[in-house]
Amino acid sequence: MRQSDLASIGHSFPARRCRYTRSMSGNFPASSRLALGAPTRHATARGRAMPDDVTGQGTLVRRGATTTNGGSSHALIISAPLRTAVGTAVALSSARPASTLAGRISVAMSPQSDADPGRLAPAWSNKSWLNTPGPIALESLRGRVVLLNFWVFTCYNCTNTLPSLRALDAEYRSKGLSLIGIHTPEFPPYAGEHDRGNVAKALLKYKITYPIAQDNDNASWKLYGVQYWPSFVLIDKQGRIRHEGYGEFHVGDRTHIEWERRIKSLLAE
Amino acid sequence: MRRRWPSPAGFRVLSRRLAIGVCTLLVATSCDDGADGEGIDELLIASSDLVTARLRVVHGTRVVRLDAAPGVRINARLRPVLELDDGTRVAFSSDSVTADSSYFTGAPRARLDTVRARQGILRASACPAEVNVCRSIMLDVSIPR
Repeated sequence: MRQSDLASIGHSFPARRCRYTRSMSGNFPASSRLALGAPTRHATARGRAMPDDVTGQGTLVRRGATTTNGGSSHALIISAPLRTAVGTAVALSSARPASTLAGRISVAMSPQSDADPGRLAPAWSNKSWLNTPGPIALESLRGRVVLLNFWVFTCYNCTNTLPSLRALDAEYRSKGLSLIGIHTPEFPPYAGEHDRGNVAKALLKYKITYPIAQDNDNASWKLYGVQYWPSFVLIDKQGRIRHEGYGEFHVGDRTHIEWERRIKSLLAE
Repeated sequence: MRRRWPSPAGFRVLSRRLAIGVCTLLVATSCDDGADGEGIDELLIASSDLVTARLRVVHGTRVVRLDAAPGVRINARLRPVLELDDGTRVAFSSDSVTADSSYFTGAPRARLDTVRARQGILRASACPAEVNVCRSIMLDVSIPR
């Protein structure tokens, strides 16, 4: 590999990394140490949620809404000068990756209450379903609270959350909750995520009995503007999106409790 | 015949030069070598906020190494893949994974022994630990011959 060859195709040469410099310069360019949320080439670039704690126990936010913490909603109180300083970030909140500082600020500052009606959930049109005799239409679930879980069996964070979802399903299905899994592959078909048989095996392995839609063309993923595995959308009895979030959670942790509180709240409406 | 030894001052000069030479040699051979302990050139071929891919030549073989940014784990259940323009796919692998085989603990590598294509796409599933999610990464790569 000659330097002149590489230069001719537009490559620049990093400094030769030797042990005595490596420890000082690190492995990554400075830009890679920035926030995790910068959009990748195919990202839908619509961050809208944020971690609600430093331990990364998932997230639970309303669309452009106040963050929730410990079971009670609260708005971030912020001084006027700082509010001005981050005003641009707020204005750009819909396009700001969620995990950037601006994304965090924008979500945290967005005023919205539990009473906000939310937007109408778009109707999915997945054809391939498991754990159900036929496709389930969103319209047919009117009058029930619907929790959508965007996941894929190759995602560790997704499968870690399944026990928690199973618990919610067991507790609230008979009380009016419909839990729907939207299985959205990360990679092209060669990775095996599109294969119905592989999904069926995963359902057996993780003891999932609620309906699962195969979203092999990522249509529902795009329809709901999802970016991360796992992600969640909570829809009320009138078919409106009331809460969205992402990230792994477990039975009994703060995020699980918060989702449960939201579900109970919508069931009571 | 009496032999002449270098004077103490001359010996110091010689010693100093020798020391400098040895140090230079040590520094040159200690350059980061990836896996095999051989000093090589490396080239950044793709980078995002989550992962960085570098091409190295080790014993004449081109190897792409994928490094995760701090706080990011690379999904080992869905191994990173280099999709090349000529239709070939090269999967990354590493012997170092977590106990449950979910994430790589060492940087995964892909050998490009027979690859002739110069363009491709790098796919990886990267999982920032802070927020416990996975994100799909898709990066254009240019591979020099």
